[in-house]
Amino acid sequence: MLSNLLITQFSTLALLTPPVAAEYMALVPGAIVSVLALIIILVDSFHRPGTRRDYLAYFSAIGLALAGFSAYVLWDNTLAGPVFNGMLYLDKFGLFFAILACLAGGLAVLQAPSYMRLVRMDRGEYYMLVLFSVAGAIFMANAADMLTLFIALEVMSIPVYCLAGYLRRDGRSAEAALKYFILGAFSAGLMLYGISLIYGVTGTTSLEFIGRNLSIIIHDPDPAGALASGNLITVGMLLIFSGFAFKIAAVPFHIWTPDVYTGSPAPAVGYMSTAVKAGAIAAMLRVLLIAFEDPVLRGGFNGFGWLDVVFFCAAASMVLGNVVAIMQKNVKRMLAYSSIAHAGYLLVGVAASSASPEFFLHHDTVLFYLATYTAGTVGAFGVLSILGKNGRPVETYDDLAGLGLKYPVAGVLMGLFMFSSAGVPPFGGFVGKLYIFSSAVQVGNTTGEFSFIGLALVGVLSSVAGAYYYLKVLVSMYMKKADEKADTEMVMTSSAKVSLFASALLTLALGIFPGFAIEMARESMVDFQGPSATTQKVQEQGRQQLEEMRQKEASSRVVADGVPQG
Amino acid sequence: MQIADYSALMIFLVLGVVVAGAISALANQFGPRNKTKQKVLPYESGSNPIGSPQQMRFSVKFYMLAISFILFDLETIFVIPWAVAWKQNDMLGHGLYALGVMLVFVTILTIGLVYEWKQGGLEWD
Amino acid sequence: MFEPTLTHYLILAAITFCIGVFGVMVRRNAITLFMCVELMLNSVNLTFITFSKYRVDMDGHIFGFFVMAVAAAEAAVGLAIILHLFRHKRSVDVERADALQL
Repeated sequence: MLSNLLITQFSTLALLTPPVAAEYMALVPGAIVSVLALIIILVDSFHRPGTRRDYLAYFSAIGLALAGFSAYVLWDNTLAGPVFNGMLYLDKFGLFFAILACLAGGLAVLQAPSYMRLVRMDRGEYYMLVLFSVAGAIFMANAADMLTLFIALEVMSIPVYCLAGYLRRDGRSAEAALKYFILGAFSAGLMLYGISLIYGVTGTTSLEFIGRNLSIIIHDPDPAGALASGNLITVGMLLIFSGFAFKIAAVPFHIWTPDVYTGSPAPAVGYMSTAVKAGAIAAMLRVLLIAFEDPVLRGGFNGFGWLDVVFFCAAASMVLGNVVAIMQKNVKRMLAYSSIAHAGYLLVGVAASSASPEFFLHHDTVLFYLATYTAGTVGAFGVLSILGKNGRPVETYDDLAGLGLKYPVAGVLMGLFMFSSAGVPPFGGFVGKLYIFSSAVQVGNTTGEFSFIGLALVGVLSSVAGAYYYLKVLVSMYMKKADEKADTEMVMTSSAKVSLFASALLTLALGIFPGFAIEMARESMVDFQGPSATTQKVQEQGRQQLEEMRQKEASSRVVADGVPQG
Repeated sequence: MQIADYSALMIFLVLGVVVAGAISALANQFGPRNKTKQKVLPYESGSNPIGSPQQMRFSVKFYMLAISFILFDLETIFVIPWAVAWKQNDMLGHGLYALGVMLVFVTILTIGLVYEWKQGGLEWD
Repeated sequence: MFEPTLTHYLILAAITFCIGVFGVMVRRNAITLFMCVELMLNSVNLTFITFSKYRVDMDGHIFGFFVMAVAAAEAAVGLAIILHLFRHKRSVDVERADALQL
C-alpha cells in the first residue's frame, strides 16, 4: 500500500533548485544580525588603541533594533510551510522569538560599557559574541529541520561559552566557561545521538516528515521501509529532550547553572539566561509539537510519553529552584537558582498546553511569560553590572547592603525587577505567572485531569516561597547598614541608562497593558507552521476568534469615536 | 580489486615489524651494556639538552597554529563537495547561485582570518 | 566470510558513545573529558553514516559533515577555555576547579 511507504525528503534535483526571492525573507532578521557581527569584527580589528569601545555598544544595539524591527515588518508577510528546501520557517512564531532574542541581546550589549569600566577591561569581542549568539537563537526559533536546528543551537551556544570565560584575569570566569563548555558539548552530543536515532527510524531530518513518518510507523504494525522499533523512538526522543532541558536549565539538567552564572560577567549572564532559554524553548516547542506530535508519543492520559517527562521536569524545577535559591548568599547564584525555577514555570505552560491538541493555542502563555521574564531578568543583571564594591562588581547580599539608599536610581530599578520576578502586581512577572497558572487550571478543569491543577498549585506555592529571596535583595539594599569602609561605586554610562530604563519600561508595560503582547503571542501560535490536521483545525478556530475580536474592537472604536461627534 | 591483491603488502608489513622488533629485542637482551650519563642523554644534535623531556611543554604558539589549522582545514569538507557538484549545478543553470553561496562562505572565513591577523594570532614571536 | 550488517555498525556506534558518556562522568582531566565528548560526536557520525548507507539517502552524510565542522569549532573554543583555566590554576584537573562551590 502506498500510504505505508515512508516519506523521504526531497529528490536530489529539488535540492539543487535555488530558493525563490520571497523565501529569502526568512533570512532577513538573522542575516541582519550576522552581517552586523561581521562588520563589528572588522571595525574592532581596526580599532584605534587607547580609545574606548563604547560606540560598538550603540552600533550593535541599533543593528539589533533594526533586526527586531525587520521581524516586526515581516509580521504580516509570513509564508505557509517551510522554505529553503524545508530548512527554515517564516512564521509569526519564529518572528516573535526573533524579536525577543534581539531585545535580550540589545539590552545586554548596552549594559556592557558600564561593566567593562567596573572590571577595567575593554574588549570588542563581547559585542560580536552576543550578536553571533543572537543570530543563532533567531535561526533556532525558525528551524524546520533537525540540521538547521542543530547548527543554530551550536551557533547560539559556542559564543556563550566564550562569554562565560570573558574575564581573562578572573580564574572563576575560566572555571565557569570550562563547566559550561564541557557540559554543553556533552548535552549537544546526547541530543545529536537522539537525532541520529530518529533519523534512522524515519529516514528524514525534516521535522514535518519526521512527524508524519513516526505516525505511520506507530500506527502501522509493519510499515514498508521502517526500522520498526518503539525503543529507538523513545530513546531518541528522550535524548533530544535532554538536550533542550540542558539549555533551558531544567531539573535534572541544571547542575551547571549556579556555577556558570556566578563566574560569568553579569551582562552576559543576563543574556544567557534569557535569549538562550528563549531559543531553546522555541526549538523545543517546534520539535515536540511538529516531530513528536503523535498522541502516542505525547503520552499523558493514555501512557508514557514526553508530556510526562515535561510534567516531572516542571514540578522538580519549580520546587528545587525556589527552595535552594532561599539558601544562597550570593545574588548571582540566587538568580541562577531562580532561573531554574522560571524554567519550571515555563515547562508548566508547555505541559498544560500540550495536554491535548484542543489547548494548542494555550502555548501563548509560554511565549508571553518569556517576554516578561526577559525584561525582568536582563534588567536585574543590568543593575548588578553597574554597581561595584572595592573595585569589583557586586555579587553577594552583603555587597549590596545600603546601596539602595546611596544610589536611589539603582535601588528603585532593582526593586522593580525583583518585584516583577517575584510576581507582584502590577509588574510583568505577575501577569505572566497568572496567565500560565490559570491556563493550567483551566486545562485541568476541562479535561478532568487534576494533576494539572496540582501542578499549578505547586507553582503558586513555590513562587510565593520564591518571593522571600527576591525581597531579601531589597531588604539588604534598603534596610541593612552600608559598610562605611567599603569603597562602593555606580558606573552609570548613558548606554546602561538606556538599557535599564528600557527594561523597566517594558516590565511595567507588560504588567499594565499586557494585551498587546498577549495578542502577539496568540497570533504566533495561530500562525505556527507544521502541526497535524487536528491541530490545524484548532489554529483555524483561533484565527477566526482573533478576527472577530479585532472586528469587535474596531466597531467599538468607531462607536466610541462616533459618540462625541453625534 | 580484491583484498587478496594486497596480501603481499600485508606479508611485507608483518615481516617488517617482526624482524625490526626482533633485532631490537635481541640487541637489548644480549648486547653488552655500559650506561654512563653521557650515553643515556637524549641526542639533541650534539648540544646538551635543557631540562628533562617529560617536563618539556609545547609553546602556546603551537596551540594557536593548531587551532587555526583545524578551522581552516575543516572548511575543505564544505568546499570539496561544492566543487564536485559544481558541474551539475552549472548544467542546471544555477551556476551563479552556487557561486554566490560559496562566496558568502569564503567571505565569512576571510573576515575571521582578518580578525586573527589583526589580533596577532599569526605572529610567530 | 563475515559481512557486517546494520546492527553491527549500530552496536559499535552505541559502544563508542557509551565509552564517551562514561568517560565524561568518571575522568578528571579536562583534556580527556573533552576527548570523550569528541568520541561521542564521532559515534553519532558513525550512526548517521550507517543509517544513510542503509537507506540510500544523502541526508545522513550531510549531517555528518556539519557535525564534523561543529566539532572543530567546539575544539577550538574548548582548547582555548582549557588553556585559560590552566593559566589560572596551573592544572587541567577539573577537581581543582572548585572556586565556585559555596
